Amino acid sequence: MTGVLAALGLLTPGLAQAQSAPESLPPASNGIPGSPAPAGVNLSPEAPPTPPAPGGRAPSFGTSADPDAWVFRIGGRISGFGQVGFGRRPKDAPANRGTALHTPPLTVGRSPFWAGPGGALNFQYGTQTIQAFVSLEASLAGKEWQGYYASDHGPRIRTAYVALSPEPLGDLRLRFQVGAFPSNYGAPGPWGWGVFGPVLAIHGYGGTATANYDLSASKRLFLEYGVAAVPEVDEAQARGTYSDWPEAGLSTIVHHAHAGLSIQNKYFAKLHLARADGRNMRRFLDDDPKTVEVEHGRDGRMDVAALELRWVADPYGQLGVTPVYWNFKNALSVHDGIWWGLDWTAGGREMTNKFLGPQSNGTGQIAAVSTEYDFSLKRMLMHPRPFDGNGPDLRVALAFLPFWTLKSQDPSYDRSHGYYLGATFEHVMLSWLSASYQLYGESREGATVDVSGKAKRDQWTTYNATVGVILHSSWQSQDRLLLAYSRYFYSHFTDSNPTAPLDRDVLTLGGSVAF
Amino acid sequence: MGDGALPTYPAERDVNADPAAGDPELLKLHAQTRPAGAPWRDPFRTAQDLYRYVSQNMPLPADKAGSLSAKEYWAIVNFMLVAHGVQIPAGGVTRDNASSVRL
Repeated sequence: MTGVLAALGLLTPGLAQAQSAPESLPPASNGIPGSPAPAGVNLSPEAPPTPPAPGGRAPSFGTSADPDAWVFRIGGRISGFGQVGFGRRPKDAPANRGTALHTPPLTVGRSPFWAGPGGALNFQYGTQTIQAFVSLEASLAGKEWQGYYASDHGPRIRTAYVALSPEPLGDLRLRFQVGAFPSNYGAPGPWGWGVFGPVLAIHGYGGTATANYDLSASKRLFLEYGVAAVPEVDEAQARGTYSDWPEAGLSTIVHHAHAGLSIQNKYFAKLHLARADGRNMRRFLDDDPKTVEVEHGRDGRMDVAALELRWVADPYGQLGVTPVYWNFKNALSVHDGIWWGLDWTAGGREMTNKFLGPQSNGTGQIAAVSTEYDFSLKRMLMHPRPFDGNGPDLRVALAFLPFWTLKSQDPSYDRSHGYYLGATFEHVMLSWLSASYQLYGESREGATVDVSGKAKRDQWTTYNATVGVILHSSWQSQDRLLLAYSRYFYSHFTDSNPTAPLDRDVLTLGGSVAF
Repeated sequence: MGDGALPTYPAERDVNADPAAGDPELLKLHAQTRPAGAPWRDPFRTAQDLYRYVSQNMPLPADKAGSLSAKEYWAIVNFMLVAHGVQIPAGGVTRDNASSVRL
């Protein structure tokens, strides 16, 4: 009985002071339920309940562990999505020509699904003080998917790092991380990603130093500084660029700093600043077909400032708003250190192609406000009774991301604006069955040149609406099989070539398992 | 036992301490399996909530969780509530009245 009371004392600070725990009891583990400390070598406190790995290789979430024990864990994901688009007859097609099926579909705009087969194996080994992580990723979609997402990189190790989390110094908790790894910042949605992702995602070789300091019982200060580098492959290298990460003749160093305050772990405000310096060492023309327009010998720069504001408004869900500002100078010379910003960036390249314009030389300014609201209808209705997801539910994510090109050297893009919007509804009906409804939209001012050489400026808009059926093994399991139908809608400016019309009907069949 | 006596909301999860940080598909799977905004442990609003938690997770280590009798767990819950100055019914908190004892 004494042991039980002492254990309870670990959860109740006031009581813990009155009751002194016997020395024979193990110290509190960060992994136990009720601990206010972040988990060490364990799953996140927000992780859904999952069974132990087969064979007892890893304990299930919530299992207390000796903080000094060396633990090896394997997690990851396997997924595969196939898509087929139903073609439309071109205007000049002969009468006897039937409907073509396309894979990948001939569509533009955001796809609701990550296409192609792929997977990730995440290995962790260490104690709660020091841990090593390695992730083996594989995206096996071929080059035909290029332009949808990073598609053709094949198997690779992008994440391999060692993290040190020393014992707290009073109210100060430190964490150091060194190696090659991605870091995400400023996402208004849950799990550091949400519908449209973070506004600042960095990867490269380098390190971060993070400090969390408890100003009081309810206020916590967050500070972080990091450096990430993406080195070049010299363009004289006979074997060329060996993956999609380094690029011939361009190297990038990203410095990033972050400061934030959380109150009651419900209200969060964080300022994120980053600067990516691109070093252009190119000597020859056409080094890389993706960035032939890079001017020789001209270094580039990309600055990012974002203010992340989030409110965990249980039971009403989570609301996040992140205003963000980008400043570019010769950004085509800034390679892949910042790999995600306003959508996928590949450094300054895609930000230039999509938002500054091809005639901008990568110089200009962009602003955006990323907003997202996520909630569970059942959790609202059940309040004040608890609901953790084990039951029928309607889970909703609403996101809106307007952006403005404040300044660009490309007159067709200067002072233009646009938006992304997304709404996902998952109606969990049975422990094995859900219905999925998704709506994505994208619109921006665009420019093109018609056959007579005349510049034409109009609104480039595409929407897609998707309904799907999802099969899963339990209410909260992280496995799913999906069959979905998507209908695409385009503005006349978007689907402007009658001899090569875009697909409007797309069928998706796929599945994912996380473990 | 009032606000802050037990951590309803844990310290924010460090998304970048998760190897999944570079895998948006895996992050999406995580998000799809749990109500957004829900704390990982529901707050203790009544003595019944506290009993449910204590009886399922205590004592440590985890393989001993749930090893006490219901009578012992109720005794612990009563002790905790009294120690924190909660007004409890005459005769103590029991299975029958726990849901009506607000914390």
